[in-house]
Amino acid sequence: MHTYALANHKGGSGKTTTAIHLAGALAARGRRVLLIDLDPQAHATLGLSSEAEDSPCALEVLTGEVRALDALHAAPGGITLIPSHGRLAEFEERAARELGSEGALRRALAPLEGRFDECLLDCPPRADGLLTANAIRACDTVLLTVETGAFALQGALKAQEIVDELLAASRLAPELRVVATMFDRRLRIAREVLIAMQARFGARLYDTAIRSSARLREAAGAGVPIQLLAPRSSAAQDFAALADELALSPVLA
Amino acid sequence: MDSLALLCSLYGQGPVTLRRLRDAGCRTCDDVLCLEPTKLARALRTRRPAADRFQREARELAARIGEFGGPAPAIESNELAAASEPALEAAPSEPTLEEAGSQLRPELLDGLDSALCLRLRALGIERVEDLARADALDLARSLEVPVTRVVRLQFLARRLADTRVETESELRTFTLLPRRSQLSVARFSPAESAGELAPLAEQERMEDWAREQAFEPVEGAGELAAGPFGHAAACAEAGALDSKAAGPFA
Repeated sequence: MHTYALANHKGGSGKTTTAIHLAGALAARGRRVLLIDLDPQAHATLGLSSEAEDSPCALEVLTGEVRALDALHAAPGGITLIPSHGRLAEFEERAARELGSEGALRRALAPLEGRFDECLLDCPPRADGLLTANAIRACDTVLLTVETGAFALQGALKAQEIVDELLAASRLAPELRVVATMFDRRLRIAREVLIAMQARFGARLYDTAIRSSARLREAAGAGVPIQLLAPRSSAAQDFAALADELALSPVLA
Repeated sequence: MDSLALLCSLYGQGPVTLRRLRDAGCRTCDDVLCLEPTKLARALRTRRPAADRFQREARELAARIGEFGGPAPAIESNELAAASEPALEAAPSEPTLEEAGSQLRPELLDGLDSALCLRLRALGIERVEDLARADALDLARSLEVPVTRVVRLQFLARRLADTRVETESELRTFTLLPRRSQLSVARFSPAESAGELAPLAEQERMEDWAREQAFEPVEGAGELAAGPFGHAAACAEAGALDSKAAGPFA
């Protein structure tokens, strides 16, 4: 199982949207995909028409009260989901009193090895919190999602700094990759940011830039991945291309 | 992301265009430029004018990121500021004094950026005089820019061409005026820029000329290659322009 942590220090950079639709694109390729919503805002959960009011969520999995296997939900598009709930915000406070809480997710996911081909972790917008630290320790690839707008590059560089610090503190070495999101080629600022990102991140930046699309908003409203709502849309093409890249791209040292 | 993927994201339909170009054997922007326009049009499933435009955009991007085939150089800081500036690094070496008088180059005229300069050269307009003589309407159509922009550029070109022939001294004066982009670079790497912008012999001649004209070149004016106008105001302007060029991303 290859695990990706979608992270950025900046909110609104497209982490949740990328997580949902990338999971949908991978599932459409016949991959067994697990999506874990680690954001207490639970937008990925809502975006897949799920909720965890009366059922176990990521909090119980992280604290060890429930096994990960018992928290799995079937979501649209052939995706398996471990949902989130507002009570996940308690995790930071509860885990702060315990030793080794940064490795909780890694331990919880160990029994799922072999059951899934890919696991996507949708992180909260705080890159220096315990939830993101858990995701980074549990993943093989940190996927920085960078919106192609003003201040986005600064957010990405800050997140990269935090990730580098976390990696230096641990003995794990996940690779760092970057995906450009919300790209609108009609906007000069978007084109400038993409050129700057290519200069800054080089081969770490995926070839596919996810274009902004009204279809993605509609898919969020419908609670399904874009592959179910508009499989021929440009957004679906972008996520399919990104899924291909994930499958084909070599690991960068 | 390689340069071809960047090109397809910026000017094409992203992964669809990228796949078509790769199927046609393209790996870099350079490969796109080497492809026959008709073959490119067939590969992109589009018409010839769109293929021509795509090649023009590929040429501009390659010049912009300083690449023809190789990987993009890593930019350590001020990425966006550098990306927002016209491709100074990719511009050809500074022309001689005589050439500079007539050859079109970015920033020579207000509003003439590197992209437009490349497109003008692609149309065979390489000198200020050529620009001044060209038909404004045809040029606007070919460049796909508003005719008012062409008319304004032609006005500036005619004025520059008229001024140029007056005296040799005056020729030196305006060709060695510090351009906005030169001032930015000069501030960051004065030694290199001085070497690029004005050969030593020329600099000495300019200083002699300034003395004759009772100008007092300030310290560092040589480094800025500002010639007779390398006074404090020019230096102050350089600072102001730098901060503008860096924009909100500095």
